[in-house]
Amino acid sequence: MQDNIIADRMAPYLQLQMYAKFTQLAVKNSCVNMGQGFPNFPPPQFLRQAIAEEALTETLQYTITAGHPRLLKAASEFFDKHMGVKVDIAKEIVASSGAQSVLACIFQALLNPNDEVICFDPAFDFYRPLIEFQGAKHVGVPLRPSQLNSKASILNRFENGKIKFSKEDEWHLDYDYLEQKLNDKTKMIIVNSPQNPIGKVFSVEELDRLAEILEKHPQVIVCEDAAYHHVVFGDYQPFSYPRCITHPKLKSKTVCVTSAGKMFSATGLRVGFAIGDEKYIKGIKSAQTYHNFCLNPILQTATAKCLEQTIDGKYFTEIRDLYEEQSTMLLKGLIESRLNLHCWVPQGGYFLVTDITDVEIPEKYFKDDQDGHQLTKDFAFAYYMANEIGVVCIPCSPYFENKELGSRFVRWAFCKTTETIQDACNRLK
Amino acid sequence: MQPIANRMLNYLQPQMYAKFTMLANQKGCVNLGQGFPNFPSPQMLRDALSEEAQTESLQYTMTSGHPKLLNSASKFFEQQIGCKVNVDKEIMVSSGAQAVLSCVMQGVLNPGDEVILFDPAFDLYRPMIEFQGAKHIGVPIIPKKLNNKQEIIKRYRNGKFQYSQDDDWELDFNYLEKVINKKTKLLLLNSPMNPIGKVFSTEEYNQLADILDKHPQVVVCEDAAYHHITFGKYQPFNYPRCITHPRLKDKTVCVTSAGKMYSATGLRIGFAVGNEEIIKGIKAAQTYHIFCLNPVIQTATARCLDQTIDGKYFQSVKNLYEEQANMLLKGLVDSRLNMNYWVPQGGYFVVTDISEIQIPEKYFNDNGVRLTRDFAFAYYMINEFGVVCIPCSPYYENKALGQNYVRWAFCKTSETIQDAINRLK
Repeated sequence: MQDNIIADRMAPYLQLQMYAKFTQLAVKNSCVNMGQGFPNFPPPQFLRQAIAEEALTETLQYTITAGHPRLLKAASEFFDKHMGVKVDIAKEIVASSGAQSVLACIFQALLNPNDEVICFDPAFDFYRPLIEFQGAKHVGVPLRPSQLNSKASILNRFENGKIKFSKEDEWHLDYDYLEQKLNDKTKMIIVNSPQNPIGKVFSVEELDRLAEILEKHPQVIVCEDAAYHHVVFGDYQPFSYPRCITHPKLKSKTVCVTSAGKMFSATGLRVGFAIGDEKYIKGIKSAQTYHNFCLNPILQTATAKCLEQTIDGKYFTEIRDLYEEQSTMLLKGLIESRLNLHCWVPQGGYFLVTDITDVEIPEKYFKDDQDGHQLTKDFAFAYYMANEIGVVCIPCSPYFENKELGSRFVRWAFCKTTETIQDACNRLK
Repeated sequence: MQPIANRMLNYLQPQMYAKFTMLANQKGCVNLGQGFPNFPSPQMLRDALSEEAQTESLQYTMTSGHPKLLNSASKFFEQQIGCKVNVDKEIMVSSGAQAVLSCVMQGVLNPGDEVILFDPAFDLYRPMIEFQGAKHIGVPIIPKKLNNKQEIIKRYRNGKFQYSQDDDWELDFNYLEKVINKKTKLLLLNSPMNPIGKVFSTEEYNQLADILDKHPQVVVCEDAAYHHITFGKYQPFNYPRCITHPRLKDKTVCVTSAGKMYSATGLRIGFAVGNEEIIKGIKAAQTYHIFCLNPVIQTATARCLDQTIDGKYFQSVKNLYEEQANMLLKGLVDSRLNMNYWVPQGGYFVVTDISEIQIPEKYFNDNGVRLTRDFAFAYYMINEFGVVCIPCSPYYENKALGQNYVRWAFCKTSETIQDAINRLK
């Protein structure tokens, strides 16, 4: 057989994906894995119970492409109660196989070749390939930290073992740059809030400003990635923070993506949702028809049960509190580590990001051990950590259009047990 | 200003099977349309799912598939198909055979590439090909002859129809050679074939291999979703395949469906097995779509494969389906509809020719749009007979070729088939 069997679009993406690669490395080197964003504490028993029960009774034949009626109903009721969004079950919601699959369907449904999509860097590194596969072009508009925080300044802000987000932790959007990049080819803008990896929650003022700008570009759709919408800290309550899908000037142009798997600490569940105006959801359903066709009914009705059982929100308040504690524990450990890192307090999500500009990294880690090519500082740091410190973190340059900008940052996951975080902190001391 | 991407504009209507199933429900019809069994899925599958739900990980697993499932599937395929699979490089699991096919298209097709389909070809192939900017070309497979009621009933003995040459649908190899060219990247064939139930023979594959030798860039995608349902002289899994053909196997990716194997179309587990390069491209496509499958469903499926590796389960399933096929075909032959018939060699469906049916004119008109005969017939059946079947023109590049065929599903309980037959008497 000859050489070019594989389609050109896949050529840059044939290597083992970054998260899987670092997880493998973690296992191989017996590192503490603070890399891939999955919880290593058990998912709730009520989820297991629900799947076990539904497995015995729910249909195992094809169900509706848009989603099992029970799931669409449960999700709609949940979103109505917790997000304040009323959803027409027949037209304004679709379930897919994880938030990622939802995103793939959104891009297929809405992006023509040569359309432009604006991402706020650091942007989840899966967006870019998904955009490229539709022949569209991604444009990165960077967010920048307002300042580098010294360890002392962060330590000072601890009170009774807790630390609050403040101005010193903000990452700002360059609106002028955004306006420069917007043009009539722009079809979509992705807003991920809470943002992976920096944990930013966009404020009402920021969304107001975005709304004003988008008024001048009425063809632009907002894709709001709210995969971490249940994990918001400080004064925000789970689900209750500024959103595009509820913003008066943005909601009619927004598709909001959420993840039941993340909500129930079960990243392998593979159930996610898109909600938004019918004119978008219609296309997304069609994209799904010709990919997954439909989801497994048992997973859907089990997820519905979980949403029904947790609709009073108590479960999510507890989970949020847990994640907030873990984030504080990790932050403290990174501050107390022997590495000269700069940190910011996250506002939500599963991760925090540190600046590694002032860390000394042995030269050998700047060369890839497979083919010797030069690595950016963030990758060198990650391999240094994996090989000598025994802790895995994720390099952030893949989250940026401009890799150099991102080479200063690495991401650490705190969706881990206390034991795991403690272990990591000990190794970093 | 409408926001939907151009590629989707032809595909915004409810998909055909869903639409006819809805109609069946609305009008209390017997649904012989959509290809899902209406008898229970095996208890072993339910039990496996229920047990695995309590213990298996619920976090991300490997993109290519849960190791247990890859191992079980590889062993199963080796035992039943005779195909050795390198677990690390030559197999991938996706969310149903359909998701597998979608990943194949994304993994292999560049814009401008051509894909050859044998019509009547499953109607979900074409959109998936188009979405990658590629072009689909239909090479029709044509029945050798029309068999009327008198002719086909002669072959009915002891409750079974004997397959004969009169049931053959033939591939026009000359036409195939004409349309295959440098731009052809993929040849997609389906055996047993939906909807006609054709099982390609070794001779046909030999001829195909000869042709493909002259076009070495062409990859073969073998859709074997019904590989467990083969009738007559063929045993489950054991019939001529590209993935085991000496001159085709190295250029083939073979797609199968655990959901269909276990009469659980909602399971959403399918496999791709084959050429390492192709599998590499497919894995990359999957990484950036569903990323990975739910581990519980995967380990449950692995258990079922382990439990049924001796093949006995599939013998009894095949026998059941063969009975149902014969029951339905007899009922269609005995019906008051003057159709033409062929005995299927496998799959879930029977196709009949409706060229001699008198269809009331009103069914040709749908809100001012003129329908093809097969659609008119399908609506006639729904409204006046209370039985749903599927029109076959969507399976053809050239719709006119398909307008005299409709498809009937026999993956149904005896009760359901009997009910349909009574309504058609």
